Amino acid sequence: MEIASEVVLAKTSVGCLPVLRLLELPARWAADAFAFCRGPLRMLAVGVLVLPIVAGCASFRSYQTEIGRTLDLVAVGRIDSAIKAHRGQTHYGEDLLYYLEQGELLRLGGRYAESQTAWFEADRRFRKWEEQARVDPEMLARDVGSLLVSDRLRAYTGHDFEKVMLTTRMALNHLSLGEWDQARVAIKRSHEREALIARLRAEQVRRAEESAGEKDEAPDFRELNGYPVRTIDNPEVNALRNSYQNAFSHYLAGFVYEALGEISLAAAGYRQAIELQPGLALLEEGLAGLDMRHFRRSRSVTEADGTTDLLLVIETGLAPARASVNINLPVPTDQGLLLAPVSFPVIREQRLVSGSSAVSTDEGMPTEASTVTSVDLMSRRALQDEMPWIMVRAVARATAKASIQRVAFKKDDSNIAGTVVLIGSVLTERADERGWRSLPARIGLARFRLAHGTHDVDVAVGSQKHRFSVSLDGPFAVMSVRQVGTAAYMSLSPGPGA
Amino acid sequence: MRIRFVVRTWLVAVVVVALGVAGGCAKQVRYGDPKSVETVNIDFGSTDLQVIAEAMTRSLLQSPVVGGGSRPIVTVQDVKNKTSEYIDTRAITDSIRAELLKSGQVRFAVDEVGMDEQIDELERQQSEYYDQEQSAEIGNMVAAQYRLQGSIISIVKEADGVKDVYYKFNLQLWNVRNGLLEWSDEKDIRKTES
Amino acid sequence: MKSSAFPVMIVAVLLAACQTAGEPKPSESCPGFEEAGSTSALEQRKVRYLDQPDVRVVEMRCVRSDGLLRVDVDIVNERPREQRIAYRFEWFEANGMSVDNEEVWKPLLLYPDQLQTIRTVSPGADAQDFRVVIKR
Repeated sequence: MEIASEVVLAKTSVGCLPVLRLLELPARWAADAFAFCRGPLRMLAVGVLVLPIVAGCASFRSYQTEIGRTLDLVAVGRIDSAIKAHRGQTHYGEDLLYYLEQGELLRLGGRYAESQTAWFEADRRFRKWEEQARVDPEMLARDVGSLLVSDRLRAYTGHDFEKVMLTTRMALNHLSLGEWDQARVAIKRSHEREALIARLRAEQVRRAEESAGEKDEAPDFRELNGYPVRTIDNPEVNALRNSYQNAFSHYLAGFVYEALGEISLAAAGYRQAIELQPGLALLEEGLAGLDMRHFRRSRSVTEADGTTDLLLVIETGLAPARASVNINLPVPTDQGLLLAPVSFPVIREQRLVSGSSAVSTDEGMPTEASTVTSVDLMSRRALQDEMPWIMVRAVARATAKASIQRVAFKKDDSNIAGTVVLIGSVLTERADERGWRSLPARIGLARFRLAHGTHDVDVAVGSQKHRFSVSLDGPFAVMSVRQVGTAAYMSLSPGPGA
Repeated sequence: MRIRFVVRTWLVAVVVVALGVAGGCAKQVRYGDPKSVETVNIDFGSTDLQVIAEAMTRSLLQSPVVGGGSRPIVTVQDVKNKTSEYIDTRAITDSIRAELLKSGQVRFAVDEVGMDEQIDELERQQSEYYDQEQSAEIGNMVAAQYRLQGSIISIVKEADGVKDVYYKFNLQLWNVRNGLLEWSDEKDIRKTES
Repeated sequence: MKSSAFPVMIVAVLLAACQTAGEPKPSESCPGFEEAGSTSALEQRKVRYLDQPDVRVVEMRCVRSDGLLRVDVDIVNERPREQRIAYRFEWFEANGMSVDNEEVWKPLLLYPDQLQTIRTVSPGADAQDFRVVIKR
């Protein structure tokens, strides 16, 4: 365990970390070197020496502020500017998060091939994680080991639901390009990824339970004074089976398999969707009507019946942002309890556009699109599941910081080293706010059978109304509409073989 | 004392990273026995597929319809997947069909899945590019006397870290002309993960 | 050789005398019985153990119908505990060539001291002879 945490340290230490770890040394040296100076002069000298090091660390910037600017552009429909603005934000390097967001922006801009390239890069990173996890399932358990630095200085590995969502969205891109066989590959990867995550998490829980038997109970975030517990612990969040499985991915899988004539796999997709989101008529009809639809199609094998089975995917909003809140934790030292500020990530309540979206076509048939998946809830659930580990790390960090401060204060009566360490610890003490923000907050579905030809499809989300003209000719098609702010983006797939 | 701590941290880190790199290189790829018992996890796997296909084939061979030496013509229909696992039942029926064909006891008519391709080819041969003497004429396809259909179900239970899955695969051979069920058999598999 | 063949012959004669006329014992219908001469010798030829499983084949029965060979093999778990084994049959044509398909290894759970019959049928009319392989 001891060694393992050092590995994580070493891996994340490429950029700022060594500087931070050694921050207290220059502070001490500076204090010694300028021992002949007095008062403010000495303070200034120390500041001049140490502060640039701190300021030079790009990672101190807030991810949410930066991505927020890009997303504001998306919300007013300036997608090309958004893509450009996001490309300009290179402080994070071209890492996982960059590719996730860039891919989503490019998809919104209708640049599917480029989007796919970006997401492929992100997927490569996830796959590396998968390979590591497959070979060494203990990795995850070790990963939660104590860390002396802020969580956000660790390499970003992505939340579980983001891993599953990525392959689902790559499938959507393939559909937008008319590559149904490729979409099938991406979808199959989603299942495999889900299964692997399930196995790893089960292993992680098992290990945690084992070690909990020896030590104290796992920390409970519900006992954190001042933490907005209800935002991540409420009936809606707890109704999810877990943070990563979602009904939309499985329903889409069912639809794609059905379009490719693979009925046994389509049935599994629809059934999984129902199990994950029970009680939705649309999902139940997907499974119940499967045999009938298949029968009808096999009847009309020689002459097509001139209709398109259209799946309408309505995505609204943005995935919720994580913010940082500081909570003072009592830390035991040999001089009694010391209060140390520790930061925790929170997801604030999000004012969501009304849950349902109304859909109608020029053939009539107005319906409500059912919300089948809420990324908002999934990301809250992910945070709920992460909280115990975050707390373990936070407590370890707080203890370490308290003792460093105490040593620094004790050795130097003028408290300069202590002050610098304190500044450093407050600067570094900020929760990990990172996350794939450009994902939609909610995903709704509607399904129509429309005659071939050009149709008007009306989508109303809250007070926003949009009309799209689509031209259909194959037996199947997927149309996706994304509503962010006042802007709406549309993508239509040509059907298989169309 | 602090310098020592930092130096030690770095030493440990360097050693561990070096080990990690070495460990990364040690990963190897090997070929395995495709027929071996696979128990990587509890999900429907290659052994289940092969065991079901083999059991069904052998049972069918003993049925009076197939084993009578009349070489009946059969078409393969859907095997319904009633589990919530992504099981490609066509992979199972494809295996059954391949093994039955090898036995020489059964002939297969084109099934629903291959129908599009079959019609395409027939129609293509009617075009002016082909020597009509040798082209296959439309209207000579042989209809199946029997049809194979079936289902697979699963019952999954999970409690206290123990997961139990029961699969039941059912296959039926129906007489197309008179609608009689000529043969049916089941294979069940139980797997437990703890 | 001669000295050992003599008692075997006596036993065979005695056995034949006990038998109702015409009906051969099921194990005698198994291909290769005549060359083996006895049930235990037959089992030695027909059964292979890999990785030393704690099981023993106690009987083997064969019957031919519609050109197919049906085989029953009785195996006993020699452990007082549960044991997991895998088995498969290997099939040969009349001329000794192996039938091209390899069977899948079939997993089997044996309860303590259980006697379990594993049954199979040949994969086609070509397959005339067999061998059973039991693996731990």
